[in-house]
Amino acid sequence: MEGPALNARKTGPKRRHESLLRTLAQPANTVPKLADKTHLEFNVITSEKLPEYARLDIFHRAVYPFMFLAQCFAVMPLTGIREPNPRRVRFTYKSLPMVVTLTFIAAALMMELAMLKHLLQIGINAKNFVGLVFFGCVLLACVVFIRLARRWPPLIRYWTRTELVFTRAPYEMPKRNLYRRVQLAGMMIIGLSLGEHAMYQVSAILSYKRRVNLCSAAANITAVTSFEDYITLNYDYVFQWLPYSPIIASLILLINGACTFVWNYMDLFIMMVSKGLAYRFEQITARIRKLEHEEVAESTFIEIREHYVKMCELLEYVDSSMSSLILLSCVNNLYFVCYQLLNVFNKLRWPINYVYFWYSLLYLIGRTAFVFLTAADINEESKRGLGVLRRVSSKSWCVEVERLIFQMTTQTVALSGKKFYFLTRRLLFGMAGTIVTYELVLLQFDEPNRRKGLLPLCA
Amino acid sequence: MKFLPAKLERKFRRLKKHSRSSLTRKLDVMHESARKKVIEENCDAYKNQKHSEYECRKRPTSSKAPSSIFVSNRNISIEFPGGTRETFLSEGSFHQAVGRVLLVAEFFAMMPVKGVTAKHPGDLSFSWRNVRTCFCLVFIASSLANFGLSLFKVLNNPISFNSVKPIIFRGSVLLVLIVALRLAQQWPTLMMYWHEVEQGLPQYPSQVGKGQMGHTIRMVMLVGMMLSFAEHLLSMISAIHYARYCNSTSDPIKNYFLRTNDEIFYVTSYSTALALWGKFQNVYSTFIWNYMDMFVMIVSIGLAAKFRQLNNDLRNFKGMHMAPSYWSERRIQYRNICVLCDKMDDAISLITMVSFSNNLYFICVQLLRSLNTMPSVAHAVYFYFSLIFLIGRTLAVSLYSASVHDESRLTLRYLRCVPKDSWCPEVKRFSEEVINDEVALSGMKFFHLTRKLVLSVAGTIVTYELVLIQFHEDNDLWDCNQSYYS
Repeated sequence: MEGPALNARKTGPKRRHESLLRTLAQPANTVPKLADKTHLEFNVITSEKLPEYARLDIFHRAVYPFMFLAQCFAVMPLTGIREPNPRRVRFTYKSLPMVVTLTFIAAALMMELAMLKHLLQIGINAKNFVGLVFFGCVLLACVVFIRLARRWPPLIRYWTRTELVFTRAPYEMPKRNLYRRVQLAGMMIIGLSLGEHAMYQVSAILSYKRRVNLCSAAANITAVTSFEDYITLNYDYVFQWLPYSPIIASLILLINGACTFVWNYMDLFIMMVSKGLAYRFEQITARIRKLEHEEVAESTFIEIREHYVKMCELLEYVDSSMSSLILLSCVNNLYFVCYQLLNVFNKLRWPINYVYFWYSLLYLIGRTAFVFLTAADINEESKRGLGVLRRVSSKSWCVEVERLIFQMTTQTVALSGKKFYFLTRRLLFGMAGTIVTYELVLLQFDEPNRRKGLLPLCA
Repeated sequence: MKFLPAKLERKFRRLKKHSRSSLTRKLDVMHESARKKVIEENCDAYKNQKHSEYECRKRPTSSKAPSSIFVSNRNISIEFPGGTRETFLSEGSFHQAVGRVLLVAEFFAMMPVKGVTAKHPGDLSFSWRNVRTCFCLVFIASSLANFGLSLFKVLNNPISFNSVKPIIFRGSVLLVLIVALRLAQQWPTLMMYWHEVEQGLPQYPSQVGKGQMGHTIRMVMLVGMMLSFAEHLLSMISAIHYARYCNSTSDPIKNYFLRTNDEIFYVTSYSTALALWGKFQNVYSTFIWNYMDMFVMIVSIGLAAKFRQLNNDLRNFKGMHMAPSYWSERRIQYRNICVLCDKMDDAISLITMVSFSNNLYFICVQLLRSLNTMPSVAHAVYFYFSLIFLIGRTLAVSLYSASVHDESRLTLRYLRCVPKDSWCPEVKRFSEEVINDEVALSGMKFFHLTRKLVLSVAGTIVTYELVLIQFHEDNDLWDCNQSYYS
């Protein structure tokens, strides 16, 4: 089936020469010639029929289910994500996803201001500041995602154009293709975060029920537990200036759930982009490895280096778009890990509280480490070809090999947080050391508070 | 060698000619012509500029007389009263961009160089017998006296982390004044060297590009000065409130002066002349304390703009086949900018180091003070405004000075796109130089101003705070006997 042509000038007689053009475009079968730009860019696409994007192993197809799910939770408002052709992705202000996003931002802002007002009344300290930080981070993340969505259509078009080279010979598909890798990691994060949210609700509800039972038994009155009572207790800062109604209560629960999703989606998005980039570097490394014991012509190295440079440029472009998100996510993770670790030695009232606390702490640390390691993978993969390149025989040695080695050793090929730091394994190690240092100092401060023990239950 | 039958061979030949679509061919032609135009424009602009510079120096320097405009090709002289085209065109040079900024500084007893607003840096001069230099020396003497009085008061009271604040403030202002005097001596030579380097660089293609650096410098200066003026006003308001809280005499103005210039009235009795001298000293010291950071920012903006000029030219020819002489020329220009960076670094290194240490100390002290309760709302507003201004200014200085290092590294992006055919030892030498040479401003060569430094400074501040918090007590920081000045 001939789909709509990429270039409108395609007419009948030219289609007969497509097969000839296809033989021209494949460098492997022809006499080595100077790698012409045209072979790498336009002709690779236009010499054939419209690429069937639905079947190709490209980033857009791997990532679209999660981006669509995110749209349902009011982040990254784009239209046309579900179409296989990435050129159909558009960002407009007058679309349904944008309306949903703006409504969500308004609602979250209201909750944040309500909490701020409440905290200013009772006094801010290090313990109750965490709610403000949570809502603040979620709001900032929404704004950052809207800005990213504005730049997403040109970015995904540039990405697809760059990576189409990697979808055909001589590049091979690694063992698990990109779609499966992203699905696996994404499902894991979403599943675990759902578990964490569910356990939070269970722990809160059970604690509430037990508290009501114990307090009414102590005061000799009948225990009355109701949904209204539970919501007004847990979200009292909202009901200080809004009247209670079941609609508002369910809206609050919905917004809370959406905020938790956005909080997790920051890391999920970074993980998906890192996997997409590291996958292509892995393909380059695999191609270099295949050349190990062969006699290689200079044109192959020219081509490999050009593709490597293209990937580096793609990485820099993606980095400049996503740097704010990475910085925000790192600050967020760092703060919450430090905060949770401070509570490690606290006494909690019931076993369910302990279960929830340890699950959430381990999930938080695990998610942070996983995102960092996935992002550091880009840096690792980009340098793996060095081992083979350094062993190239003197007969195949040429200037291009030297240039490629120079580039791999001197440039830091990694995502960064606004160029302040690069996401490599060394950074993760350094961050872990810093966290431990600060925890040791902060735990000393908290010692007098902890010695007081549990507060009386029925105030 | 024929590997296709004759009929297909002909079609193949036709295909080869039209092997790219007409659309892409058109785009290529447009691209090529645009690039050729840029090269031509660069050449023309350079020629025009040389010509106009020559004309400028030939013409007698009287701005009041109506001047003639010489059109380069024909000898038509058109008389216009008042300004000529040259007075409105800026060359885009650093000397012109920084002229007004230095003029403001001269009013505040820094940088006593004559001729800062002149068109050509050759008109700059420094002399010890100038009225500006004398004013500078008088102000240094007065600051020294003030510093001595401050030192005397602090040493006679119990010393703590907070009590040394006035000494550090006045001491750093004094140090910056002395260094600025020495910088003013070197300024004419530095600006002449800068001018030479600028003339050698590829010229800006348009007037907009030329005005960019000057615009940024003016904006930075304007915003910085306005915010610091606002901060000074707020400090005066909060001092008035505080004077009412700590009232030692019945006259509110006298209270105010007794609070803000307490180190003078620690040794002498109150007199209006001394109070006014103290106020004058305070205003000037605050300006100079802010100006330190502004100056480092402005020099960084200038240096980064030079690197950007070179990078923009490299970007125009990215991925194209250029002759080795082109690369050799660019490498030499890059080297010139690096040497310029070194020279400027040597000149302002001490100012940079004083500025960074100052910022570090003041952020630590103010963060510590923020843990306490504030005596009044006015005080709280002033305090938080000044803390945010301080942190914002430190961040701005760090980021602008780190941009010099970042811009110098961007050149590598264009070097790696050089195709195999034009790769030559010149390009190799160029890329190795860019990678291996650390081009950045520094603080007396102890630390280099890069983005990594911002992170480590933030980490240092947090570490020091965590230790200092243990030693702080709530009551002694808002003591009426404590020196107020912040």
